Amino acid sequence: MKKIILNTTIALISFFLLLLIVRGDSGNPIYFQSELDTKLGGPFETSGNNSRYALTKALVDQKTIFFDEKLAKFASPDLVEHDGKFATIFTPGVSFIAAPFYYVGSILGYPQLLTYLSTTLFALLNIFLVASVARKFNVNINLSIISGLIFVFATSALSYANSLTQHHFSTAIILLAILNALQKRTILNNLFFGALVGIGALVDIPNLFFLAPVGIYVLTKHINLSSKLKLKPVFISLIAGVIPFIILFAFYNKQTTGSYTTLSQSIGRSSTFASEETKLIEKMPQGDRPLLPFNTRNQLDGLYILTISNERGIFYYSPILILGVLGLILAYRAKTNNDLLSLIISIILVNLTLYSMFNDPWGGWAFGPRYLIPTSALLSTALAVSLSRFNKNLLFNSLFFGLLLYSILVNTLGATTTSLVPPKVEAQNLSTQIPYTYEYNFQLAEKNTSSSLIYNLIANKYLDVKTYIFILGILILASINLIYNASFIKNLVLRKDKNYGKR
Amino acid sequence: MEKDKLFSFFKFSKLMTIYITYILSLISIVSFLVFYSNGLGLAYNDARSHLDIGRRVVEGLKPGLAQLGSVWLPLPHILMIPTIWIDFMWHSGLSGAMVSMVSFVATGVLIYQFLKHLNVGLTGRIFGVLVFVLNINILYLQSTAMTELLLLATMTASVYYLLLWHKDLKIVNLIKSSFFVMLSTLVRYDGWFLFLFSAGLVFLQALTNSNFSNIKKSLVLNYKKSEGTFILYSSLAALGIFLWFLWNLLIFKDPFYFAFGPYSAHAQQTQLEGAGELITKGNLILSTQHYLYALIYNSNIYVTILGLFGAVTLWLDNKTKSSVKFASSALTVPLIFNIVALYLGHSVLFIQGLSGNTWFNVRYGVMLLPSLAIFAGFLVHKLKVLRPALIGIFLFTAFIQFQSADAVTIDDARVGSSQKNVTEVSGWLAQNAKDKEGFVLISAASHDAIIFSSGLPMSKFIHEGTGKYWESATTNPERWARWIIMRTHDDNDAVWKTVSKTPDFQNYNLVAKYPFADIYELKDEFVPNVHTKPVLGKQK
Repeated sequence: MKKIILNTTIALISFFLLLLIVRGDSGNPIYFQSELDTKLGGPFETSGNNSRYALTKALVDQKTIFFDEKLAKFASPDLVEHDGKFATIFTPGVSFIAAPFYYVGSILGYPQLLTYLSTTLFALLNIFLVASVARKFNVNINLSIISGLIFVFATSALSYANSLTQHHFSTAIILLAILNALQKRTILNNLFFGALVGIGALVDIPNLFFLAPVGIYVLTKHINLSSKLKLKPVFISLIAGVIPFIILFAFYNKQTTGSYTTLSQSIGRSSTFASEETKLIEKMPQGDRPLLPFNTRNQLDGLYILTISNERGIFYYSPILILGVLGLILAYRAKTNNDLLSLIISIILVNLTLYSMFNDPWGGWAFGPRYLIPTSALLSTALAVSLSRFNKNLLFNSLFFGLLLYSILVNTLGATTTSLVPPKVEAQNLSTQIPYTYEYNFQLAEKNTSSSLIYNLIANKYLDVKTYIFILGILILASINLIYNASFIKNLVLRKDKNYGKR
Repeated sequence: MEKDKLFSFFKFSKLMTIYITYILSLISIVSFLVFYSNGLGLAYNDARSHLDIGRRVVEGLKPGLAQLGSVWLPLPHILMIPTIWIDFMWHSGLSGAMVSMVSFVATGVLIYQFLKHLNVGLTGRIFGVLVFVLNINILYLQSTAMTELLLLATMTASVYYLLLWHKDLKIVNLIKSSFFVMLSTLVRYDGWFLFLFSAGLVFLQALTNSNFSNIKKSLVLNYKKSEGTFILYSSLAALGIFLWFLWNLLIFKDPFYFAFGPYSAHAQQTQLEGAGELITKGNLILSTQHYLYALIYNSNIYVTILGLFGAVTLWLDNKTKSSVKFASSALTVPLIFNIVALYLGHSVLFIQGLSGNTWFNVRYGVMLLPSLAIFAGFLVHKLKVLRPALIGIFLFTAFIQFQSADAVTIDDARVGSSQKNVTEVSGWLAQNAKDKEGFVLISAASHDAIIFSSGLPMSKFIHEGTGKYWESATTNPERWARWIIMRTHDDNDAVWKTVSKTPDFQNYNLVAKYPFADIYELKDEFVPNVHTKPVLGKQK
């Protein structure tokens, strides 16, 4: 019962805090609900959101996966064209998940808000999924919840918690897959795991790479080593779980590309509504294209960009995650859950390796290392191990809160201003130069520009943007601190209990 | 049942070396065929020059061992001699590639054995071999007549036997180690540094090893024994260096001719320094940065990180004897040597993006790969829990490297400063000089790639190594050279430097002008008087 109350309280507080960063502007009554305006700081500032939103809208309003001219222009440049029909360049999973939300939103008159709420709810779910994974390291519930809160509020995951992108869906799928993989292989578990793989592919193709180590782990659990090498029959249910989604995906591909196996991404962007500049780039000779858009030659630069650079470095934007790395080392030495540790490290390595080799490790114009959001979640789970080991150490606590405050403020700044931060190479070539770090977000805050609906609707009458961000940051920190100290007090009480450790 | 399993595993483990040799040989042959068929096997200008040096020993106007020259150390060319006389072996590059291929297999096996003696299990050992083998740069270099693989094999063998000696103090291992160091000193100057480093290790090990002598009894006695061991080791290990000095003294009348002669690396570096392109000289940070980039581009960042962590794990491992750690430190020699060489200005390395927009000598970064493979194998052995993750990511990275054809050594050979597209000049020669009588005067030091690519017999060319033919042709060209290949107005070209000042030069027509060299042909009225046969007989 206590657990339910605690979880409900955490969910409500987190939901309230997430509402404070919901994107939007005042209008009649709220802007962006019927206006497909791509202005900076709005929910439609990036084409990554727009192309998926266009598909959601087309699915519900027009009962089709193809775009009319208005939606095609809105989705451009993340648009493909086949047989004169326009479709999104992305895999359709996110839009499929968001469609019911859009439907309800349309009835209520808030289609955009409700559609984006789907991601917010998944972000909320991720708090508990991160906590559940962290619990597998034998850390107490409060610290595990803190690790979940850190993931959502102190990493770049916050900027994407109110968007229509794949990041939170993918993270949820990966975390669910890990939790599932650690369980006994039953028909139901296997069906669910297969479904996760299928949904993962529909949400974003790289999920297949991230789920590969988990999949291999699950497969090894089906190998019977006692006699001859053979697979347990329950293995079939894995395939049964994945098949419906593969069929759905294949039919979707057939419609958009003319082939069951060809993805929209692989036929290239449509230049029909592209800017002259984009058309020029598309026309440039591309040379022999390899099978996959990855090249090991990019890895050195990519790794730098994604880890420590001021452009997209995960430890630059969320230095609190350094304690997650420490947690992995501690977990390795403690040998509490080797299988889990191996899975987590595998996925982190796949995530880092894959995107460090990618042609665009920045993730285009974005805030923070958006491609490393799954890694942020996994490092957050390990962070709980560090907290568990050192939470009585004053020096560690000082470091923890220092890093946490910085991480929360930086990411709150991003979430309440814009996700459109250019890579250095592009920023330096703009006619009007803008910073390529979160300094850009800070400049926007100084100009009193915010993407927060609550701020633009209510709080702007009382506060400037910087104060709003500061208050929001302090509220997040205070919530985490409250849980952290509750854990500390509880530990103190338990230590006085003679029976502590025997339970 | 259990006994049977144990026995079969033991048998399997024993046979692994044979399996690995067999598999690596197959990989080696397939790789050679791939690079031979796509024409990349001879892309490096230096590969063609190495083949020409070997060929000149057995064919030309003045064949003989003196043709080994002073620019490069002689072992790679000596090893080509048994096969280079066959035209196919020369022109396909197989004569030189065979040396590299055998070295590739040997290095792979040595990595396996090295890890075995570090008490690494089968998985770690095989992983170490995979790190070395699944590297596109290594597979490319082993398919060429370049010297890297031979150096890797001899250096790894030397460190391997040094490790064995540190473990068991058997004199036979010390001698084997010194023998392979000696071989490596005859491949590249990296080997000289290994000699100094390993000799120091031998001395220290002998001095500090309690089994070797009782320190309490007599420090002096211990010192004397270590001195003896050092001398024993160095006598054989330094033999190659001594012979090289002697060779230079006998052939070029200067023991330091290889170091300071007109075709030495030093001369090349001096020119680069004059042009402001030797940016690493005197700058330790830049030297380190350049070499680390070369290392990472060759080995891949993931392997480099694994190797780094593996080295730290080895040196901090409580179960590994300190003498073994001591011996393993010799694996870092290529790293130290290359950084020091760049810092002192004895070596040059261009990294695209760091030093302009070109590559040069980036292949030097491959020198640490066997060491990284050994350290990575050790790491995988130690981190048992993470083995699937570490191995899986490595295989994935290797797959991407192959699918994206990321081979920095091929870029170095094809588009970097190491390449020369001499097909126009060599094509002209093949078309216009092949069926006509007469000699071609050319500087081998500047245009060896043209000699190779022309497909003409070596005896058709008068170059620096042809003694009296060279002397006569450069002072009185119209009597000896029907064609002259040289870079006009470039005093670095020995032919231009001498011939352009002779009165005969006006008797030649410039018939073709190309980026790397121009072609001059003797005017028709002088052709009847030109020598077309090697009339000077056998020269000493």
